[in-house]
Amino acid sequence: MTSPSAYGPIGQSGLKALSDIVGPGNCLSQPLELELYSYDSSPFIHHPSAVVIPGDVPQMCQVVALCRRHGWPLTCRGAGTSLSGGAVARRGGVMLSTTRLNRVVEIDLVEETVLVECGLVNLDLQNALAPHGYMFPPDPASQKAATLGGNIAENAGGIKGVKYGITKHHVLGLELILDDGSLVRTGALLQGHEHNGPDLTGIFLASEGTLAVVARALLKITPLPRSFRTVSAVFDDLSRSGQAVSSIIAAGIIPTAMEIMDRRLIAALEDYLHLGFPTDAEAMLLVELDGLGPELDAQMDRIRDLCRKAGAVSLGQAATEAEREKLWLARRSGNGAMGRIKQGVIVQDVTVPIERLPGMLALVQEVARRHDVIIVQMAHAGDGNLHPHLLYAPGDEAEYGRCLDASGEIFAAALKAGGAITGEHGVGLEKVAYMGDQFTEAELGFMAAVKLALDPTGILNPDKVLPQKYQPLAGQECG
Amino acid sequence: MIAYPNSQSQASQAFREALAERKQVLPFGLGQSLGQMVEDRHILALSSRDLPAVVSVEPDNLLAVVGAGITVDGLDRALAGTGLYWPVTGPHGRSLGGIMGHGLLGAEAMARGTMCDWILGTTMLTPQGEIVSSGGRTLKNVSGYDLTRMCWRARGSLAMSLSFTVKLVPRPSVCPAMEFKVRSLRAAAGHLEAIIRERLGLQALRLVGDKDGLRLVAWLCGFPELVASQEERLKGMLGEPSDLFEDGFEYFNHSDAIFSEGHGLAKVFAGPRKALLGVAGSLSWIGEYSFVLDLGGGRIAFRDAPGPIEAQAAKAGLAVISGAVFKAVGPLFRRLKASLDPRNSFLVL
Amino acid sequence: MPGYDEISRCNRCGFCQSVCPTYLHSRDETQVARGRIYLTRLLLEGKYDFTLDAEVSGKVDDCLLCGACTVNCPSSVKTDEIMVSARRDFAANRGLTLFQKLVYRGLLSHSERLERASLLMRIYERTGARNVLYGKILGRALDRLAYYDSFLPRGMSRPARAQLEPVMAPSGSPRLRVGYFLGCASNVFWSQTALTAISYLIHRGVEVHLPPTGCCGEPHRTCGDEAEVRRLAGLNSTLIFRDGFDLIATDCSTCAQALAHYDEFVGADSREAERIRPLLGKVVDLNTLVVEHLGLDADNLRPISHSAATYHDSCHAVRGLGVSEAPRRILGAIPGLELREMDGADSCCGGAGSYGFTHPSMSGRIAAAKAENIAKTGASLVATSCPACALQLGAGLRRAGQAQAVAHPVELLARSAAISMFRQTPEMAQGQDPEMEP
Repeated sequence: MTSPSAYGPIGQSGLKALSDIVGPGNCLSQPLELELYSYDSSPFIHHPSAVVIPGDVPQMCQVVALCRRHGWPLTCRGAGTSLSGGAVARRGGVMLSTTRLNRVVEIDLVEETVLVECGLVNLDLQNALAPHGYMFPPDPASQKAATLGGNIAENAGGIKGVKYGITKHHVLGLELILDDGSLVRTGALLQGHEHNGPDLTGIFLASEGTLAVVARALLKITPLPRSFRTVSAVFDDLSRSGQAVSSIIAAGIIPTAMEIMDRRLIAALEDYLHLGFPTDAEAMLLVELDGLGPELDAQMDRIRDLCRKAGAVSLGQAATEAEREKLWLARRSGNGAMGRIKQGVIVQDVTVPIERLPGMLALVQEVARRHDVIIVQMAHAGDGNLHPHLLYAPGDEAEYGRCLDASGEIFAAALKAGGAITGEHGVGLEKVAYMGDQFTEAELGFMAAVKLALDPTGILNPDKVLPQKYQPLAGQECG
Repeated sequence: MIAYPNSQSQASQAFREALAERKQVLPFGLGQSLGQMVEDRHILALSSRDLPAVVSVEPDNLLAVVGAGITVDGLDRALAGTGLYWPVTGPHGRSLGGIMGHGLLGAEAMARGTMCDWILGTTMLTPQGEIVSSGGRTLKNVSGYDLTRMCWRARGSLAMSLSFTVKLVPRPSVCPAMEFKVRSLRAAAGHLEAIIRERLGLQALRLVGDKDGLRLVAWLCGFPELVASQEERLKGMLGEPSDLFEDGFEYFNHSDAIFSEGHGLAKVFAGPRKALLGVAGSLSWIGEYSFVLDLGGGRIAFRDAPGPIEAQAAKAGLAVISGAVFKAVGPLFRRLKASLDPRNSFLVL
Repeated sequence: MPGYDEISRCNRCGFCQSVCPTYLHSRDETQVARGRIYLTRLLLEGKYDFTLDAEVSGKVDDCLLCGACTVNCPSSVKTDEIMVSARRDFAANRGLTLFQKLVYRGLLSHSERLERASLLMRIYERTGARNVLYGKILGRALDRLAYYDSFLPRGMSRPARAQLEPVMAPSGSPRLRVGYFLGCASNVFWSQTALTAISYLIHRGVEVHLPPTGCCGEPHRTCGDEAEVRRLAGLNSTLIFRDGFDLIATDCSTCAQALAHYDEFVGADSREAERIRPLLGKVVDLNTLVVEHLGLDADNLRPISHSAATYHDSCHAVRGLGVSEAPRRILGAIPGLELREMDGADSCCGGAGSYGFTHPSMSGRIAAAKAENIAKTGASLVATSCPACALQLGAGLRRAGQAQAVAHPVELLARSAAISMFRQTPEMAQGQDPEMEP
């Protein structure tokens, strides 16, 4: 990893300056330590030159300001569970770990909001809200590790997206650190008269750390449903499970969650959790409804009916809360369980409009056959978000190459169907190459202008989201 | 000068011509907020009114593609028979583009959030006159930056919306609005807070004061069993409703007129719920002016209120949001504006 | 021995962060299972060298081996085994550390030396030397010494083995013959517990055999000292895996877990391993022995001097042996004793054998959190099934200024049954009650 001329090296005096801000114990620069901050949950490995773990917002501001002053690249990291390479330091420089800023600052039950620090783990937030009868609906599968800062940067989705929406829908205001280290507030965190002006909260959601650093966020909280019904339907054909989903939506029912798992995923999860999943089924559909209680059974009957009509070979229902939790633990462990099949994984995150889902599921199966690769499928079926997992043995170059080809075909098919290349994992490093397929030059140019406005020196998470020629320093660098 | 292009490319064309003539462009929908601007020779007021209103209605995808000039009523009519609707009820005379630009809320903001939460994608005109799209046709989409939300409350100063892909939901089976008489403002504030703490999942919660008296209004939507259960809890807290309106949509379309009237007719303030409850508790209201306190939407509107009302509201921590002019433009906006629109092609009011 | 394939199953999902105690108390990726696996992978790939790169061994030594990550890993990556394997390679290439040589090989491997050390510790306490040393004169300058001092249980008795006999028969014909494995920590630091437990078994009609075994070898296994593990296991195996025992029991769940896998300790391919494999199923944790083989005899139990207790699951019990119900049932059977679950009951106490000595800062933080969780239950007593945990919990409670007592569930059961003791130490005879004092 070489530092192009546009970025400054850190050096001993730089390390001292960082150390003075966060304390020597919270500034890591030994090779071994940097090794352990060189990865996230994606296949990308890049080493930072220094890692700082600040203890409060003022320290964060000082770090950012220092990076700006010296031209050091700055990459933020929460739990380091990005699937698209969002938390790797592509250009080295400073990695800012937010993990110590993990407080629930204030829960307000009249405003129905919660103010959180960026390093708070999503599940810890849920656990803090539950005793008050509230939840934060975006619940990505990685919630037991992922932080709110990361959720906001990637606009995390989760299993409840189809009914409750995704992270964007629940962020009311932000406390942001701009590239010069200044702290600004947006949205509901504005004071008084500042409200009469544009609300620029939105542009930072899903900005993947490339426009500003989120320090704290004001989030909307939602009452916890009092009652749940969870149904599992087994199919002998994957795309029929997709058709069941379409028919449920066409019938005017919006369940809380609709998740599809394919045969290999079911087998891997059964191997892990031993829940009695049918390992010979082609697909399993999990549907959950939530609400007050009385209104759920009628809807559940209709859902079961629709599943049967779509060809379900068997139906089951979670009888207890423990059973329900086990089902969702299984679903959330999907990505992690891939290690049981093969160790190399390319995780895709394409979305298609709802009516195209069955066709897309079948297409991915066909692509797998034609390229002779294993593709394990799971999907947030209710919002058309698929997660094909293309598997390869590390070291098998040929197999990896076939996976890349298959992956490209899937992207193209999703775009052709009117979808998007990423639903919730972010563009990061992984999908930068495909941005040109999804967007026109004018569109990328407009986004580039936004990036230039907020990060003219290109230090905030460089090389992510936008292709090289749209990054602020394009043309200033040698390579 | 005013122009009413009837296609996106015409809009782009008109825009570029204005640029070439060194005019600034003021996007608008149906003109409620225009005021005196149209008289200025150096300004091209560019309307979305005649852009194709309905491009597609796709019930199976829970979406529709519409022009930015369409009104909520127009969208409603286009969705007739699909069993779906767009959950932004109230600002019925305004174009969707206007709702976006002025940050207007639907009556069900409490349960459904803002318009931004119901837009899957936007096609817009950039300050360079180019047509770009952000978002798409799916709920989950994090490719690139969210330019839709960049336009929220920006009054067309960064881009002009041309069309929206709106996200739809099934119409609720039942949707009554209920009114409950309350004795006093202080009692009302107490009730409102208590109802919030009940976590009923209401669509809207209001306090209305006019010549007919003081009343609390709740909007219940959903399956009959759910609504019955909510109704029971409300009755337990407030007694029998003084009035019940079966079609909550009609009710709120009517009562929300006060929030979306053009400037001069009503004063609207926004702020945290506690500030609203504080104002409610301390108002010297004697029935000679009217107000609607929308607790779910975080706003209060006054009609014909005496002068000191504004001072009282400001003191309570509320901000004025009615009026045609931006009161506050911070460093963040200035940076964006300078980079996206260096020539100041879009007028900032 | 887990190789590269096992390590490669980790696809860096990061779920281990939610349960890894060293991560939760540092919020630092260099202290989480995922990070340790990644480093080991680089070692195997040759990027780092077992002989040269000392810092890597430090990171590998930071692991508590608590196993919480493995249980919660969607790919079931066996981090603890991978860590031990790496330590074995480090030990083979670089030799043992001074601490490992002095304490593990020097002390634990030789029961009589450990017993003599115990005498020194008892003198240190009784003569008031500890107060002189740091309490008044040297004060805060010896914070580190105060930290180590906190581990010493108050009112230690003479080692248990000295009070016991090779065969101890009940009155009447025995219902069971049990080979009792007296672990080195139980013998020296929990001698009253061991004596009480054995007395209870005898009281319940068990003929208790006490072969002259030494350290089970688990501490040596965790630092990769293969040779010493073989030596100790070889000696113990012939003594404890003998004909004539219906069951093999111990009051230390670490020893129990080791014994249950003793074929690996003696060398998986050896003749001894083949001999003892059919006998491994006889190894039971003491709690299991009581609940499943003797029954609780609930009618003959009386209240003890505590009304509320909480239970700490040792890693080797809950994740190693699957023992978590039995001790709770024992506590539940004691009249007038309410069992209150603490937060993170099955989360590692930070003791991890000698981790409390080698990693005072991290261990101290974990112990402090445990003390807080114990305090939140309002219980006056915390029960646990491992003497190493007992030492660590006791130390943490003392440092936090808390007064909860620490005891083994079967010890409490024995009190509740008001048994007459087979043997007591002089201290016990004088009425010093470890149940009352932490």
